Amino acid sequence: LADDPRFYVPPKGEEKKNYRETPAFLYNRNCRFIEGTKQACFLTKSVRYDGMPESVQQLIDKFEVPDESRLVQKAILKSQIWDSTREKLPKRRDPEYPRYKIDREYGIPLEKRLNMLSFDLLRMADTAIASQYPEIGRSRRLIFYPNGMATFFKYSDSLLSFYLGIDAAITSTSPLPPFVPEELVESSSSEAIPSLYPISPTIDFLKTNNYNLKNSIGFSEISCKFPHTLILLNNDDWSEDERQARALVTAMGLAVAQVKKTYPGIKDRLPTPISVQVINMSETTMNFTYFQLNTIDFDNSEAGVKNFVWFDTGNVLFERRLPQPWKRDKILETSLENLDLDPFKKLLATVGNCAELEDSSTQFKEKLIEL
Amino acid sequence: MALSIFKQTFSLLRSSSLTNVFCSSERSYRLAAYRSRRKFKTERRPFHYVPKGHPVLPPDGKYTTEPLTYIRSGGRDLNGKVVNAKIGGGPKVNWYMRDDHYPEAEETQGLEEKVLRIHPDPIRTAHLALVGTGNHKRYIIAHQNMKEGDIIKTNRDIPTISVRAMEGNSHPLGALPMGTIVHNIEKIPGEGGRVCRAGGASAQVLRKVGDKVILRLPSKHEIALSFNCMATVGQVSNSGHDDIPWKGVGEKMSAGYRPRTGWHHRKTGYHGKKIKPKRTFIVKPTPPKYETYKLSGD
Repeated sequence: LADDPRFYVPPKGEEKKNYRETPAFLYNRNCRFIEGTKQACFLTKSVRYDGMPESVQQLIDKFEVPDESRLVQKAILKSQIWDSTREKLPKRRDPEYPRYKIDREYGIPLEKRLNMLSFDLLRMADTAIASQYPEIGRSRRLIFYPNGMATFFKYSDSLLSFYLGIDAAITSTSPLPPFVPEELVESSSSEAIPSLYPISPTIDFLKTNNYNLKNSIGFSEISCKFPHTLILLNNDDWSEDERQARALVTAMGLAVAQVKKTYPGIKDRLPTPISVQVINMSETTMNFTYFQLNTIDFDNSEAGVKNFVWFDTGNVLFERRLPQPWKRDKILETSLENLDLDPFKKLLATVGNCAELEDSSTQFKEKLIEL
Repeated sequence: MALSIFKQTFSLLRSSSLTNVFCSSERSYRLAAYRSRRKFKTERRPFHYVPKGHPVLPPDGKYTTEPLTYIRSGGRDLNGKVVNAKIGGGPKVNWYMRDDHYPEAEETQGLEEKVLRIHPDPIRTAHLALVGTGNHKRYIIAHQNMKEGDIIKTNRDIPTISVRAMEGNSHPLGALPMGTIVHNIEKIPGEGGRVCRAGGASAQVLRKVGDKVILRLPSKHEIALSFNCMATVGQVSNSGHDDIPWKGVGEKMSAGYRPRTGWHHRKTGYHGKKIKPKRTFIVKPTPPKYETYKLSGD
């Protein structure tokens, strides 16, 4: 009777592992914020700006790649058409004519397309920056699929724990300088954040009694321990707003994990602000977020100094039109149209941020060692 | 000895007063429950009644906003045979748990909720609305003029002066003025809404008599309910879903209805049976038909 699967009773929460009496709210990569960036800004107590910060916008035309359009087109075609994998793609229903049954297609799966395109573009960006500042090879490190990023803190009588999932990370020996001078940081205490009254920002978190609390950065603490940029690949069919909210929260989580290691007892304002960049990549579009952490006090949403966020959404590299076979001889195959090179230039600017500093600092250190 | 062991183990799974049997599987239990219900005739349904399908509920029994699978019956009974040949086929749909219960609210202040999303329900005629407060989200029935960003209140107070009824808010029936349009009404206070849940349905509050409130239902039948029953103000969404005619057999088949012969005709008064008007509702208690005597102990 105890082994009969017809009468299987699943174990209760008290019998599962890691049971604690007080419940906690868990955040995951699959947490979909229902209000989007508004909810994320309220959680992280950050003021929102649209566009890129000035220090990054000056670097747009600084780095050049010879034969830019040809190389970008090559990277796109390599990931979309020239690759030789042939797998069954998922079923597809078109919202224009939902009752039409489309034949099953074979081709390259989404994960492989994303990985190939994004890492090809990153490689091109690295070579372009290294041609001007060759000492970057020693001061930076590119990590694929880092593991173990997690933080936790208290938010208005409830415990939050974050487990972050990142696809690639660029780390450096020197931290990023803040995007904004200190005068604006102090004047931000007078600005207001829009409130979500009947809803709390932890509405999409998972509430459980079985959890583990952990605080770690994820990459080594000996060399290259400061995060520079994070790269997230969007496998889901979320909206751009929800993807940007996810990018914000991952940046915040990493920054808080770093703060807890360097300043263990801090509760309010930091002596020097920490800044992190995030790049969101889907098949056709790229989004950028720039986050600057000034305080850890997330409870008071009105009083005190606030953090800053810059959102740059909707940068379309190319358009991908899917086949609609009921239209007879017009659209029978996927077609790629409308190449735009502006998002690639923005990518160069974000990855090349603070390259002069690292170049000069490594030269300085080498001269010290020689002495 | 073995029978008593069976009874102890399997009767603990479900505790209902109607079926006092021991069963070897859930299917045989449902068969016995179905037959016992038919014996006592607690539900008036024709013999060829079969529901269109049932959802697969989570084993916790807790409320979730995630979509669940819906298994269609195909017109088949518990025995596995075709009992209703006009049901069959249809698309695979998601079934959403809709919360028809009214939440508890503080006194004089009430509970405020915000409307987050509105979308049509694949298996019901009324639209669904996602609604949230604090850390809890739930699905409810959407009324006619609902928009994203609205704020909804629930109040359980019954003041002496009737409340000004705003669309979407929910009050007990004793607090509403006469003539309000209302849906998702409770029959027994605390049970959950049962009346007027389909697309376009609505009931009207007529008058108050003593301890009860009289409503007119969409079938023009009148009913008396207690003051403490909750209801929401407004009309249910998607009111014109009846007016759109079917295009043909193909559209019906793709929705889950199988064809029937064109041999039936609706009966009118010409065929001998009279079509009578509905009965009016009588509130006063009727006197008994027999005489009563009081026996005194003098």
